[in-house]
Amino acid sequence: MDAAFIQFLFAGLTEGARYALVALGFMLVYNASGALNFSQGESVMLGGMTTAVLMQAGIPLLPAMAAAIAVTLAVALLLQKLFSRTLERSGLLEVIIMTVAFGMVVRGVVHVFWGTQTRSVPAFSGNDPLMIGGATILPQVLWVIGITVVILLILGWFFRYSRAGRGFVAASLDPETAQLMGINVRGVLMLAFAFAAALGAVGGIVTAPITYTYYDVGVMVGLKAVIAAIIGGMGSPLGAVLGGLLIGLGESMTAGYLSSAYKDAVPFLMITLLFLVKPNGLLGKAPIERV
Amino acid sequence: MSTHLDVAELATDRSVNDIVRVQGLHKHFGGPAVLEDVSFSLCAGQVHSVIGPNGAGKTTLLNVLSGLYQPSAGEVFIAGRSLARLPPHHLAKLGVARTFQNLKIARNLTIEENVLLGAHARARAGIWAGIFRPPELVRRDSDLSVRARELLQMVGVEVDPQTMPDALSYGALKRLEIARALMAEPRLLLLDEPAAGLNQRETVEIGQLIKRLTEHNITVVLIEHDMKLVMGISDQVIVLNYGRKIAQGTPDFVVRDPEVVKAYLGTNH
Amino acid sequence: MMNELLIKPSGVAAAPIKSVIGQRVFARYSLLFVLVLALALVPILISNSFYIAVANLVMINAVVAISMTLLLGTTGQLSLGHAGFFAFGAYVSAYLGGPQGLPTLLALALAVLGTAVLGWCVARLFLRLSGYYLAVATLGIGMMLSIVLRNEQHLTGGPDGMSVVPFGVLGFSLQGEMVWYFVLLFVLVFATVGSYNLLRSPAGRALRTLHDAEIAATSVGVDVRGYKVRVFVLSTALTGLMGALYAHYAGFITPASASFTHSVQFVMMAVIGGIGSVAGAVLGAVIVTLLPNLLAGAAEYEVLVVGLILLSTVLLLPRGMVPTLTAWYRGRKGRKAS
Repeated sequence: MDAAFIQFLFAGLTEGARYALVALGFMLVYNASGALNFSQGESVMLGGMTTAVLMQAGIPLLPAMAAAIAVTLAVALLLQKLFSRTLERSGLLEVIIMTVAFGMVVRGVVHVFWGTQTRSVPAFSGNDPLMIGGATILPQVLWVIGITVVILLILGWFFRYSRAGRGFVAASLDPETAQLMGINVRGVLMLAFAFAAALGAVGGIVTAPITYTYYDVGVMVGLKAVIAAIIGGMGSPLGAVLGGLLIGLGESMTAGYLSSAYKDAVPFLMITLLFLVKPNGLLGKAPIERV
Repeated sequence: MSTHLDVAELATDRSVNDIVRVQGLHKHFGGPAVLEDVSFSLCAGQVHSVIGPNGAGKTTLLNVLSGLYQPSAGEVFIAGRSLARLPPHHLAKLGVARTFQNLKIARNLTIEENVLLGAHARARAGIWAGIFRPPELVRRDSDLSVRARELLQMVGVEVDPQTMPDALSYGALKRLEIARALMAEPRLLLLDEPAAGLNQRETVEIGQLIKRLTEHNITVVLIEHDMKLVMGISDQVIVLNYGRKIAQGTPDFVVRDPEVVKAYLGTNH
Repeated sequence: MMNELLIKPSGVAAAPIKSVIGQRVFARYSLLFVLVLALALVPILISNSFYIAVANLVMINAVVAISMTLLLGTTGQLSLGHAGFFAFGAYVSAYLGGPQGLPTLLALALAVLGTAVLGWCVARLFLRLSGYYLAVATLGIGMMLSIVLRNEQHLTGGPDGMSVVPFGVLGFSLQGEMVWYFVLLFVLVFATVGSYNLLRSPAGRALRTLHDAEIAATSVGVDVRGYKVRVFVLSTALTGLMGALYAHYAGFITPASASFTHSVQFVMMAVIGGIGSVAGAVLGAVIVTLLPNLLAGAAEYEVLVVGLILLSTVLLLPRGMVPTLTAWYRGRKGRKAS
């Protein structure tokens, strides 16, 4: 295989992994509540930035990572409270706008306290590039892919084989019945937000050594991850992952072979084309209104 | 009632007897048939009730008559005009108006505006006209406002027309929908469970209102569960069960029909 | 036919109704007239051109905010890509009036027409989408426009933008804050009155029903799809017009005007002021436009403060400022009366 191709492939997988993790987060929250969280991308930013700041202050990698994940979780739980309240009092529209606003606040706070400079996190196992098939690959890339795979396996096991996980799935499909069966539907929403936050934070931390991190990295990542989730069909975790990878690969291949200037247009082009073909997203069913 | 009528004749003849003609109507949604081989005709200026156990297909029938659903097979004619491939919003021009079982009221419009909505087909409703407000629009809107208030009084909604719908009781909202439907000056009025949720006195009033409408050649098709109301005001009753028409005739005739009895009371009787 | 059913009070009942409606309309129009007069006198009283410039920017944003609130407040369609239409109008007018050498009035007209056509295409293609899917689709369109504008340097001047010829009509060149103030004031008044009219009209009633009672609208004869497309086109055309005017006013246009952030700002103006309220849109535009200027010394707080304002509005005043204030005022009047 062509060395350049392998290069692009790994680049695409790396970006795709990040999108996949955030897209999973979107999907979890959507399934638990029916609304989109437009500030999901900020979990990536918080994870990476917090780790970077703490490490620059001298704290070693693992505790910094743990703290970063904790911070992201705390912020996510605050969001969940506001989310639920807005959902009850107003409609989906207000919730979407609220999440956009919340994202701005998070970004704004980070901007004020940590400035706009780009920060980096040291690579987990050094920067000596590996040779794979003639292409030079950073070891961090393997960390990204590896950690993402592990997370997906854990999630998969959780949702399929654990009680809490199955309860989660049940509550997403049919909240009323789930509640009657004793499943704590409120708790499900909290869990969704917590998972989404953790996933995003890990994604941000693990890719920070490669792509660096800065206060508004979450905006574009978040937007593209929404699209990844929709492309994958909001129903299945596998779909979110595939959507993320599709976008990541699409971007890197476009950047490599066509034009790096238009690389960012790829996800938006994809979603526009998708909606032309399937106006109800990949899930396909038009909403049925009871008359 | 005749079954063979020249459609062209019907289309131009405005005083036609059969305002509704349904022939071999089938309706399914990709699964088992919700309506199966339903045929009937309705005389103008009378009250026709459609009754039947839950799930019999009554609301589906109403949705077909109001153009929201296209038949899977069969034909439906209203005032001689076939409903095949007719977009739902064209039925208002045919003189069809309806109310809804699950109230469909615009919550961000005032009561008066909700009623005025009924006259949409008769008002100057273009967007440019809306922006520039030509005198004709102003004049017509003002006349329509007067009529809307009269209708509100007639159906017994006695509050300030500028009130928002969330201040009204369920019964009042049902009557609001009727006022909206009447605003269209329809010749065919489809009412989906108008008495649901109303107390006895309100039900009697609704019944009287409906009866009065027929004095002006308005045809009313009524889905109802309240048998007293149905028996009291209907000129004709159609009974559906599992999507099929099992009886049609005067209230007294239908209530004695053994098929009807079986459908409602089960086979033990 | 129906009249025999009712005690025919057209004479008696109609007269007081007409005069009550007439009174309210007269009061509202006279208030508007006084307001416009006051605003027209402002540049004469305050000759500081910086303030006039800020006012001009506010007015441009206000009209876009009005177009956004029309869209959001009637049919409930959320567009997260309106800045794209703004920039499209700006660039088309700039390109046709500059490099192509067309008279600027014609360039402007074509820019508005072009934006309307673009809006029509987007509407026809994507209005079938439900809920947030439409928001995401418009977001995609906006982002793609932004990227194209940034990259097609030979047409658009690339990320650095392009300069725009001043607007000329009948031999006069519109330059200077004062002149633009009156032009933009005229446009704003026109947009405000037009929108008020529209919302009160039969078309406006039909549109406002589409938010939560589409089926009811269909049953009374409203062509739902047609109206949704038309209001979307109206909204985008108005936005394109303001984009084009802005380009000639500022003399310069960059791809940043098509950014997602810019789109969000327009949404914010409508939300803060009150979705569906024209006065609210203007108020929202004032707040969102003035904010960066007020924070001129502490630019790093801008994102935070703007986000906090939007957040608190959605949480505390979900209906927006103007409707909440109006309801509070009416409540007080009611209590005083009783």
